[in-house]
Amino acid sequence: MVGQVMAPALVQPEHVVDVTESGSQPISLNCAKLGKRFGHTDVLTNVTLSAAKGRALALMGENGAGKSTLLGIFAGLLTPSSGGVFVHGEAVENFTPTEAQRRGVQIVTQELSLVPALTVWENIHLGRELCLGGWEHGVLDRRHMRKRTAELLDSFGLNISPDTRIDDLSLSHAQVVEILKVYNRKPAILLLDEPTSALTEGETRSLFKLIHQMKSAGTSIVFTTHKMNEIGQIGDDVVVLRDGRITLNGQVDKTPTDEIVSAMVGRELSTIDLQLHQPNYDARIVFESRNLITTKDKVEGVSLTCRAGEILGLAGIAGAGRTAFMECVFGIGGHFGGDVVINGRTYSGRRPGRSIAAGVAYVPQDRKSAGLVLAQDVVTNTSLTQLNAFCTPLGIVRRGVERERSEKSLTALRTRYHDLGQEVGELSGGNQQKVLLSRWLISDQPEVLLLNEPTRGIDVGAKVDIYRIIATLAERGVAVIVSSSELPELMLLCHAVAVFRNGVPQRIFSRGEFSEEDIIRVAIGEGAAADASEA
Amino acid sequence: MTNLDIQPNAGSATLAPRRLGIGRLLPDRRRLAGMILWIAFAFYVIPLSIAEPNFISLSNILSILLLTSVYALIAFGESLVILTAGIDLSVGSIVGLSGVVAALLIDGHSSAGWVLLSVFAGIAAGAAVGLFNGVLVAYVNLPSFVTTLGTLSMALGVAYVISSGRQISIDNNTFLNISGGRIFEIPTPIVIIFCAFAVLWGYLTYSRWGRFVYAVGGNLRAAYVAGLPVRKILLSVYVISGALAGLAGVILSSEVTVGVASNGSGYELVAIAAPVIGGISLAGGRGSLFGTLFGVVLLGTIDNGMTILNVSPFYQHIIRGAIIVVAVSIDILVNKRRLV
Repeated sequence: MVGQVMAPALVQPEHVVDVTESGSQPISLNCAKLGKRFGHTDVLTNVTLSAAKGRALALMGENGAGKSTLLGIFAGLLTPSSGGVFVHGEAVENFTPTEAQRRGVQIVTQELSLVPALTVWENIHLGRELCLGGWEHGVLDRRHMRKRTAELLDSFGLNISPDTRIDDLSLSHAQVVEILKVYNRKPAILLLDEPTSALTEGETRSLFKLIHQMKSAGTSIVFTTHKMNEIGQIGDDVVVLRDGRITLNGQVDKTPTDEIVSAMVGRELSTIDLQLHQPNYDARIVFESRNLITTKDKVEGVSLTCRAGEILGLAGIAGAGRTAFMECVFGIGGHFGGDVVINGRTYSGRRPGRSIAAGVAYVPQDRKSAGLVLAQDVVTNTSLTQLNAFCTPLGIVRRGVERERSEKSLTALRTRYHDLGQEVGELSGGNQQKVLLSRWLISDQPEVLLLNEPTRGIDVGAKVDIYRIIATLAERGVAVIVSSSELPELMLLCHAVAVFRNGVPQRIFSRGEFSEEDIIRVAIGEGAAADASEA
Repeated sequence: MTNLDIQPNAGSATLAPRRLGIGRLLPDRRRLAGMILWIAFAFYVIPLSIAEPNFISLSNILSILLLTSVYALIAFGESLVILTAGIDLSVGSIVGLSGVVAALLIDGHSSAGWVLLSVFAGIAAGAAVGLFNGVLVAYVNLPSFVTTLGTLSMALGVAYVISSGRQISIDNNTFLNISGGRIFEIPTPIVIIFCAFAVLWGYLTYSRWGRFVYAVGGNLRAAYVAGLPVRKILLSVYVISGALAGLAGVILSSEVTVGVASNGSGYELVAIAAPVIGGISLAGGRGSLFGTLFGVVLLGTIDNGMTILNVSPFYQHIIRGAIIVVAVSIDILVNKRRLV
């Protein structure tokens, strides 16, 4: 099942340019002295690396280290500022996405490139439609394309119809469709940018199986990830980037994990040391939901409480109802049943403006589409929700105070930016997330803080900063509810974890009972642990 | 106020260095597009001024501004709508409607009170159409293009109905003085557009409302999740756009001494073109009212220049359209905005 053991490919940066000397496996893709500047920022500097045929190269690095940029250049989506890219040893000038695809390079980016209004089979064959009689301007061969799609879905173990519209798929299923679409094109070089960040555990296993198959078939794979265990499972070579420079280039089986981690962060980081305070179980109940029900049965009667100073985690596989629950509480979407009680006061007619006034804060999971105004600057984005606190009675913004307070709350989260007037779209993912979180530190602290995947796609350093601020806020009496698909994160951060399945919390684990295995069992509905249900 | 002192890890930098040095002085891409337009503008104005010294005389400059004052007012309102990623096609019809309303009211009266009333009625007629647009866009979730395409026709129809398709001539001197009068030697309409500009620009730039307009246009969903009163903001820009078009209609009817339904037909072209030339993105959330002012002046100057040069009005249409396309192309090419 695992691809056969290969002779080590040569990875010394000085020699990789010379294709003829590259060990036993031919080099599929390499770059030499690659540099990329965005405005005044060097995103990549002097990057030289190579990917061998039939091997998987793991690109590691904190957010903003330049991984996505590098993949973007390989795929022809971005033009390098200096240096060159070679595909199968041939130098590529004027690399465009079309040219890259012609040479067999395919990419799966973090932003999916599916057409929402089309079906799964239409998307999988988009631009590569099969036609009756092979005449490419003729009639589409729908039957064949459906059949091929069904085979692909089946081989991945994904139980959806080829006729489902992308609109109706969950994020993780859409991600799988995107991967299958690219897989179906039989690329010689496959670039995957955080392929597993949206996937469930089962889907991740299927993906790894697929990757092993592709490696055996001679495909060369370059992928980025934040998850250390993935490197060991599918990676053959590993390259670590830090601030756009290569800090480590080696083979996975010869490189200890500690070395990779320290190459990423540039400092020793064995375990995250988070001092979590003891919650006061006699503290007042700040948040309570009573039999909350959403439309489309995504949430079917959720009753949860959270006390002042408590950090409550929500676990569950994708689609278990965690996001629907949070959005329902905050008041995004259609009609709801049940009640939300904040500080003993029931409030109906929920919508974001009223929720914020009632002391509820929400950090959405999708920071780019639901969180930030990307074209606007850092200050504007930081102060957006609490702008009233900086306004004169006539509605004029007091900019001095606004800047000062924004800067203070951004600094508390150790956000990196060039200046406050910089467009927030230019920041890395981790720093964008910090901007989003800093909104709720800028003025009066909220009563209830809802965090939906607060560290998705973020490097270790930024994660620690965010954990610290969450713990600090809880210590000051904020009731915090964190939804996350990463269990270790919840187990580190939370006083209790409610495990969702089918739109209902099946069981609440207190910190003393935390066990990754038990929680996963409840989440996937397996075994006796799933039976005990608490309200 | 919350205290945010949280102990960071010792010894790590919190902030990247700020941009310093001579790089700051050079124009970045975003400003370059504007500069190219200014330079092109200069290449048009300077030779023309040498060939035709009258072109840069104070009286001609004032007449350019006077001619563009009606356009400027509707373009300001249109800019607000475009900043929220919408479009208002009804402004031209509103100009006609408000002119007719004002002319009907002033007909047969001579007192200053009736002048005031008719001016306000003209503005109110525009605001009412804007309110209708805004309610449909913000509360019924109708696309602005469809909504205002409908009101373009409806407002024009209402104007024809209440005027019975007639031209209503205006002979009230106080009313005619709105366009003909001067305040401190400056024609009144010019004073009005600069006042309107100052108030709108200031409020857009320095107020909470202005921030919200940009946020709603930049990312509607994020604005909603951030708790902004999205619907009210959307409603407000359509009402303001309608009211400004109403005011423009009053000024225009005073200028041409007649209220007629077709007075503003086709004005939406300039109203949309000016902000777009001035760098306001049709996708919303980007641009400044200064750009709109520049766009209006640019279009007005070119119109005026072509008239001085005796270019046939038929060709003027072609040239005006070409300028719009070229100006926006420069912006897109310089900013390297891609289709995908």
